[in-house]
Amino acid sequence: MIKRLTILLFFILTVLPIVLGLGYSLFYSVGMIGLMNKGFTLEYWQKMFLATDAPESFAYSFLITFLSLILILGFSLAFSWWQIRKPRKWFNNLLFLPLTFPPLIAAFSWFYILSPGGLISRFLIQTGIISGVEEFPRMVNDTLGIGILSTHVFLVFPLFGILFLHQANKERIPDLMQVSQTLGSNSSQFFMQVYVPLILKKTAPFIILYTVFLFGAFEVPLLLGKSAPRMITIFITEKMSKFNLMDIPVAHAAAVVYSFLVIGMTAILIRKNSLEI
Amino acid sequence: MAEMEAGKANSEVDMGWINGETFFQLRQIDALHGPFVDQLPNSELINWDNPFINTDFQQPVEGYECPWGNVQMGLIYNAATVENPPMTTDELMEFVKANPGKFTIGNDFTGMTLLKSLMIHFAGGKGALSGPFDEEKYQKYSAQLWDYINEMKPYFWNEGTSFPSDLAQMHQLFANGELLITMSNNDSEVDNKISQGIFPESARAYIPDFGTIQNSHYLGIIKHAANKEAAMVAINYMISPEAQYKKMIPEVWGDRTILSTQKLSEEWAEKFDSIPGRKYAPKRDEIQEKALMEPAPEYMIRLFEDFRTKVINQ
Repeated sequence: MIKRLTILLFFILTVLPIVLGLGYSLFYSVGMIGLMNKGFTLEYWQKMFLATDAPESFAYSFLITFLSLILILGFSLAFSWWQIRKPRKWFNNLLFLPLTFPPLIAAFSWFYILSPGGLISRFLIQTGIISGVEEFPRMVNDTLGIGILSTHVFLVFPLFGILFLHQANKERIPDLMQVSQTLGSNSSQFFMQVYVPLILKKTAPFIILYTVFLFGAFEVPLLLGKSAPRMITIFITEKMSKFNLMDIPVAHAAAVVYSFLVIGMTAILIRKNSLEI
Repeated sequence: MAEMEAGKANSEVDMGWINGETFFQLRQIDALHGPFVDQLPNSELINWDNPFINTDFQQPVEGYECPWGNVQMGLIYNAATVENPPMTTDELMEFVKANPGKFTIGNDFTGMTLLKSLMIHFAGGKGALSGPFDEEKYQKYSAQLWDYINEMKPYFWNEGTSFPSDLAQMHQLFANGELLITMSNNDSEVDNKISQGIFPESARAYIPDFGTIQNSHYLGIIKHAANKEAAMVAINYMISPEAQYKKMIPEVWGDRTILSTQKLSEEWAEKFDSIPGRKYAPKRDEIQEKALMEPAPEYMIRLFEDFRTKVINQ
């Protein structure tokens, strides 16, 4: 009985709102509901795919998510590997600090560090290394997304670093390493063939969750990203709230695609990793 | 709009600060209460003869929104670094090319207002885009506008690869020296921002010779407002001489009153004529001759869309 109630509660609190929201957006995007809509039409879907930058926005979101993830996982694996071999407790504790930052505050902080009018630029001007803001390399609102990637790494790397370290201790990595060395492998072989696959496999549910989190990032690319291409979350928000009411169904169409992509991505990754969450 | 779609009988919002395209949108979905302005005792003091007050983006207000303030778009520069700010479209082009990375246009309401001003100029100046939205005119003159903007784009801030998303960002870039020119829909903003310590004291506002848009902002009452009478009382106070006087002080807001000083008592008229503090913005009677009327709201909606497809995404 309690099990059934728990499942029902889970369904009401999580599945139902998603299904209702998705259904609402789907109906809105095909003109079935909405104050300005006048009946079934595929016009807004056509507009989204053919007359807006939605496809580029989806592609850009994938790219930023992928690059962020590569950097975050790379730093976290390197950090946990270093800590497991030469533990530094103070550094471990220091990592908790970025975890207290909400994304918007972190984005502002990086903006004030990396922008041409920011701290690094001011320091370089004061010390005479550069003569003006125009000589400072662009690292926010830039083509390479340096500001966005830096903020994502700052926000997520500490969590994964701590998580990987915890997982490494749980898997008794030092013992495994000793065994592998006895059998003749060196450190880099152990790192590449045992440590990385083991840690990534064991923490895959969290990696998937954060992939979805990065794909749906809003505040960070809003402040630190370029006007074009823009993340899909920014595309949807602009279409939903700017000057043209007839763009609202386009925003809903993009939201439907976004939702299916996230659900699909999660389902594929879970299936691939044969996870039981 | 969300409340109407949800079938909510009583709105959470009673009154709103609107103008132009929001007025157009709210009328489109029949979300405004009215006409109500005639019922406000202080509405008799409003300068209804002024076309910049009685017409909102070519739409007669017809009592569905009450004028609250009047402003004209101004460009703001730092007189310590810019000796001669650009006055014509040709000078603006030269200025941008001579100062790469120091000028941009916001992808927001203010940026669109500059684009509208430029498009009116290309269409022939004052009154050229008056009346309802004209697709033919839009196609013809917006094409000229995009050619003009795209010629300058490589010399814009961040090489035209990114555009500020709001006015606060423009002002910040100007304040830290990244931009030589910022802009505002409020001609008095320069005094306001200097008094707040955001802009340097050498900042000055001016109106270029090609003219800028002057418009009014309004207060509207939501059709499903639960407290319509209370909203009317509040609006009546907000257009009273006391409140308008306070709002006209640059440190507070600094916009022009919508009241006719000729309809005010002698005492109030004198007070309005001698409001202190407007030091760095040009005199209002001097900029009036360069004031352009807002074109129909569809121009702005189309410009915003096309600015993305024909400039930002290019």
